[in-house]
Amino acid sequence: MSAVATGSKFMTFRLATETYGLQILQVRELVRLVEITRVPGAPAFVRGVVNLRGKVIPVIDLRHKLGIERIEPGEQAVIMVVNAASGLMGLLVDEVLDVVALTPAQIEPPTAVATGDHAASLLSGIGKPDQRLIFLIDLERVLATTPTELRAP
Amino acid sequence: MAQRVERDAETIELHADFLEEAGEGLTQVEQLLASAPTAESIGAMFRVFHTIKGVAGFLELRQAIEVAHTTETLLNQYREGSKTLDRDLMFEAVALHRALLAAVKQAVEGHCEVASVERAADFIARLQLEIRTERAVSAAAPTAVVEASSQLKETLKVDLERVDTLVEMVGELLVVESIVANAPEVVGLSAPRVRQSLGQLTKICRDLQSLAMRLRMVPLRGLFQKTVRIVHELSKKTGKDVALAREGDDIELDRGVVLKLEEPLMHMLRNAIDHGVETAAQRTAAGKPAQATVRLKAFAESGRVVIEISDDGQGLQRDAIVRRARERGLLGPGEEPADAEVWNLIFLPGFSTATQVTELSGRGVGMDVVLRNVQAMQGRVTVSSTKGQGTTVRLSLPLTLAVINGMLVSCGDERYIIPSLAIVESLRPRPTMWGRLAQRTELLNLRGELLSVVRLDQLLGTRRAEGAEAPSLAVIVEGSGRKVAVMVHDVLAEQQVVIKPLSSAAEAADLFSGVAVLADGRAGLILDVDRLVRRTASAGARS
Repeated sequence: MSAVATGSKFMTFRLATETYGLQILQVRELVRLVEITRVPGAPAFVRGVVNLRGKVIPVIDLRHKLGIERIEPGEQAVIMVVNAASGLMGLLVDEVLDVVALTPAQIEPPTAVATGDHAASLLSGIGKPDQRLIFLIDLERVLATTPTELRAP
Repeated sequence: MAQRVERDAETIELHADFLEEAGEGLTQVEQLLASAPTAESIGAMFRVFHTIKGVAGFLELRQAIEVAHTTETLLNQYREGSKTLDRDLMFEAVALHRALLAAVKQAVEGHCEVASVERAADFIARLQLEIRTERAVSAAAPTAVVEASSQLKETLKVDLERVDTLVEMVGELLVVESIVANAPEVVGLSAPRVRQSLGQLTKICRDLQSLAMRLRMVPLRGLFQKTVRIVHELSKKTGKDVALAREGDDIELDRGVVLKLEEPLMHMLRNAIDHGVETAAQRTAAGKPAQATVRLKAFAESGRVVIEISDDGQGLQRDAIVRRARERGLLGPGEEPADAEVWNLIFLPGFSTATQVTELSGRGVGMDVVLRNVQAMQGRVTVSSTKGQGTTVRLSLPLTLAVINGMLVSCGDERYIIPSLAIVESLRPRPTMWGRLAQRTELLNLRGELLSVVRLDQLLGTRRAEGAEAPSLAVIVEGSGRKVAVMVHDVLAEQQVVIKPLSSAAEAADLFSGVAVLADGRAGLILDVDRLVRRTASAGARS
């Protein structure tokens, strides 16, 4: 399992109508939506905490992080458990799609297009396989940024 | 003599082994010094310093080599009988070695150079002077026989991390077991064989949990042995003759609890000897034995461990404390507090720093620290005192930090855990018991005691279903010495929960002390009662 071969594989998921991706190595497991325990007083992007086989991990609302309108999780919602620098975290997404392999040629740097949208600063790149767009998430930057810095222009 | 501790794993491990062994050796020396020296005990002490010198030599810790070597030389003279063992000097030697070890530990952890301990050179000079001085051996040559040492058990050293991982995994197992056993599909099963096996599974899981918890338990002996040195030093410093009586060395507590207990214990011993115990002259005049006794006693009581520190000194100065409390406006002019309330005053931060009230200045200083440390590990402190007969401070501690008894309460469609220890009672107050200051601040009259009210649903922003009634059950909790009524919908069950830290992402939520996995597998937040009470008090002050 060489880093080059796996490093360009992405777990793709849906937020609202768009497709996003996360490096597959960063995803530890997918958890079907379970009851999330709300944590009063925690920042708004923290949906709450869940029990993952005895470990209690926080669940981050990825929509909120990117400045997308907050909704109550639907039937297809999934918690993606990721290995972040600060420990295990759950990312709440609308739906998990499939695993997509991208060649370096199929990935543009996030600076390729001048959007002026702060959410672009949370991307590690933009994948463009066969006429589609996949926004590739930079995990550490997403977790480190507070949503207040993320107002759309 | 600066040295660098290299980063490679092997060297670090060697240093870690050295620190542990040397530390154990020094503790052994202190233990030996506690009783009258014998040829055997001096020999044992000699071997400890000899080993330290050897390993320090291998690790090229120059200062440690030098100090250990000089100490060893002097001990050799004691062993040969050419001098009588000087216990004070030996206690000092142990203290210096500990300082050296601390410097090595710091260097290993910080990957930096081993700092030299300044007072080492002076001490070596003193030891050498003692070595050169010819002394007549005192008539009372060491003859006492070493008490039969406690029976040795076979032990195995295990990496603490492995133990913690095991304990954690057993915790997970229990949670899954409880989810399975409580699942409606399983509860409905009637097959006797399955039911029986499930019962067995539950039992094995419980046994496994108690076994896993015991892995982290250590006897209080090590901690209690450290008090020998402190009492020795303090009685020397104050010129008071104090004997230390220890009981309950074998009582076991979670390693984490024992570590956090050291500071409060030292504080309380200092208080007892500095301020509780009178001088020999005063004692004789009062018809007491000239030698004072400080008693350290540990025992198990209803699932908890109690540690009592008592002295046979003069007792707390009730009048002085009451006077001081009136000066500071803590007591009204006409108030006549009960004894227990008076003793609790000494736990207030900075209560008796005033120098004019010397008898209690020392008593009070640091007692707030003791209270805070003990409360932080879900413990309780109580004081009792009788004038002229002494003072007893009693610490009641949980066996482990990781598990508490919690009361599961519901609030709207959410559930929270309140530590059982903090709960005084729960009741449904009658309408006449309520009062509402300025139409907003609620107060409850509980049998004549006025309590502030916390509406948990409002405080936490809990959703309430349409048409649902306001919470009407009052859970009376006590924290930071005050009681408040917490209004909830229902009290569901009491259960033992394993406390887990709330992750950094959610730590802004400062009303919770942690999170636990509930019997149905969901995460449940544990309310921090102390903070809740403090917040209620300050919110009241603002409005």
